[in-house]
Amino acid sequence: MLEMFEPIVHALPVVLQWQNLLAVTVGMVAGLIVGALPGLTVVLGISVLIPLTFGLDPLVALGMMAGIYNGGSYGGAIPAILLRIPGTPASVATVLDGYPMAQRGEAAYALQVAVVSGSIGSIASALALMLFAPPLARISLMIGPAEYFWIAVFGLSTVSVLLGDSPIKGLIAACIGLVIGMVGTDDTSGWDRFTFNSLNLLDGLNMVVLLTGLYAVPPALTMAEQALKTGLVKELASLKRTKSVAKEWTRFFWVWVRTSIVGIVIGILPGAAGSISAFVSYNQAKRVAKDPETFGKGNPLGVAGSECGNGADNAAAMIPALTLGIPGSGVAAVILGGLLVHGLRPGAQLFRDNPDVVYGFMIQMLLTSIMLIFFGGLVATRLFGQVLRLPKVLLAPLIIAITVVGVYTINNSTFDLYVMLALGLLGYAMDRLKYPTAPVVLGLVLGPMAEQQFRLAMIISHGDPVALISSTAAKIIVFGIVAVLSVPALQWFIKRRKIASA
Amino acid sequence: MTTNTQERAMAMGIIAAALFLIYVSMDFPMESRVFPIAVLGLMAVLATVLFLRSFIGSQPEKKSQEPVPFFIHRNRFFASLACITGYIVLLPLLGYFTTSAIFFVAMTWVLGFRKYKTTFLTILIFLGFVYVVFVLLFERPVPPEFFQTY
Repeated sequence: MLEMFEPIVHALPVVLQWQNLLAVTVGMVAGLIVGALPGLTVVLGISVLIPLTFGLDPLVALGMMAGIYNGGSYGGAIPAILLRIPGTPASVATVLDGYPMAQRGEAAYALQVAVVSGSIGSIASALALMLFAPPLARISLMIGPAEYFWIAVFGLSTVSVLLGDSPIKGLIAACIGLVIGMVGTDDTSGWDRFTFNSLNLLDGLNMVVLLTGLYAVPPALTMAEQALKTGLVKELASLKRTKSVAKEWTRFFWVWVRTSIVGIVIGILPGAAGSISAFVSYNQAKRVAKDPETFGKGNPLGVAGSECGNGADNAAAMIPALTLGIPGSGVAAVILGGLLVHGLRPGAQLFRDNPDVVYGFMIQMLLTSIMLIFFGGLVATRLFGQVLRLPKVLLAPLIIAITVVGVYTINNSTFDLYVMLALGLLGYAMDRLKYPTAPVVLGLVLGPMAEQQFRLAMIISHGDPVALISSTAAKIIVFGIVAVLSVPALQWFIKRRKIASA
Repeated sequence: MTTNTQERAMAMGIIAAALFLIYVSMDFPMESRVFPIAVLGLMAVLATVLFLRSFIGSQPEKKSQEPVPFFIHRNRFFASLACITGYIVLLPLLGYFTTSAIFFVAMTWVLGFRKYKTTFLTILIFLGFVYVVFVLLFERPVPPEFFQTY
């Protein structure tokens, strides 16, 4: 049992090097800022950051990503509580009780409940990552090419079906990602696919170009269209502490325990993390409360439930991502992209070949969760919350300019910038027509793996397709895929029955 | 344009792109074309379902029949797009810092922001940040300024 923690102990001194600590701190501040600004998401923050981390040690890059992830998770609660504007989709549930609390003069208390609860959820989540990821990675060693192919299909199906409003749109988005992943020279046959004789496309489309195109350009265009010329708040200056969470911890304890478990379980499920865990956790807190009628009217337990659940899915979403290459959330998909950019492939070989990096990242997730309590304090919240005063009309060109320099410096190529713009327009159209974009990223990540494993399975079985479902594991995964794809039909059936009975 | 019309236009675009790429894939050797054709075929089928669904009315909410603008503000969208395109075109010619400063002023002006002091202060801080981080700290090559190349 103890030998399980050996790699963690070994990675600890590496994490505590000043460069890594600085990276974590910078990431956390960036995450708080990105999360606090409505319209900017954690995914955008990480996408813009990835090009910056080229040439850096992978752990420095991952430290920044961990900081943004956990920092952004709480940052979204600041405008949710103060302005009734959720900074991130996951902080929508926090608005329900956080804003009424602020209205009756308890804004500082609500922020404190949010940050402490978010930290506790994140700490539990990071511990779950440390506990469950290594054994799962070992199990992945027993998986053959056919099973890997089905796992990739399973990941794509779950994220596509569960992440957006329309499963068909989600699946189309995944197909778009798969097609983008096919661009370039086919490793097996040496044939150029969808390059249209362009030398720039021979190596395929760069992951960073795709991420920035899909996640940074569309919000910048939307901000430009809205052209808001004033900042948001003065409320930050008048924050005063009225109560202390530390003195009332017994009141919150069971909410934290329950919603941490809920958040971790939802986080592990591919495609289900994010706002779902915040809402389910909020409902869980309400369901077991003695005074459920006060929820929605400023009950601090509501803020605690949603923020703890929101924090608890962060590191947990990385469990399937690091071990099987299947992210539990959109943010995890982008971090997975960041790993690939640094030449790190998820799975057992990541744990075997780069233990300091992978275990170091787990420690960084834990470290940022603890740091959040200090960075999310009242003074820091006042300080970082000042970004809300920045007019959004200035943010749009800022995002474009930082994205352009980041993308250009990858290959010193203007061609990449045009591709980024084209993907940005595609992302804008997808946003407007409510196509989820995370399946596109996942398609690009899992597509080449799925194709490679499919070919390998076919070679091993001498072209017999039955071999794809001959093992028990393959049958179980295929059953899982069918079950996931049946969810929308089941939901439709239940909805119809409800309408008919009403 | 109603939501249904937008959905149909997007679905038709996806079907057209998928069919075109299937046609392109036919030239690939067998082992390289199986996966692309399967994925593109699935994409075309799904987009067709989406297209037909908008007619059949499995979601006949009145909402979807009401005109919904695709753009939040069409003029600002195209003005911003023009600024971004101009930015990318001018970047290799004028250099990163010069083009970024012009782009920043142009875009904020086009969007109606007239607080020049705030604009210039933001440009100064932002470009200073990029210079310190990209050029000094990480030594990343940014497009050279036009006056440096002569």
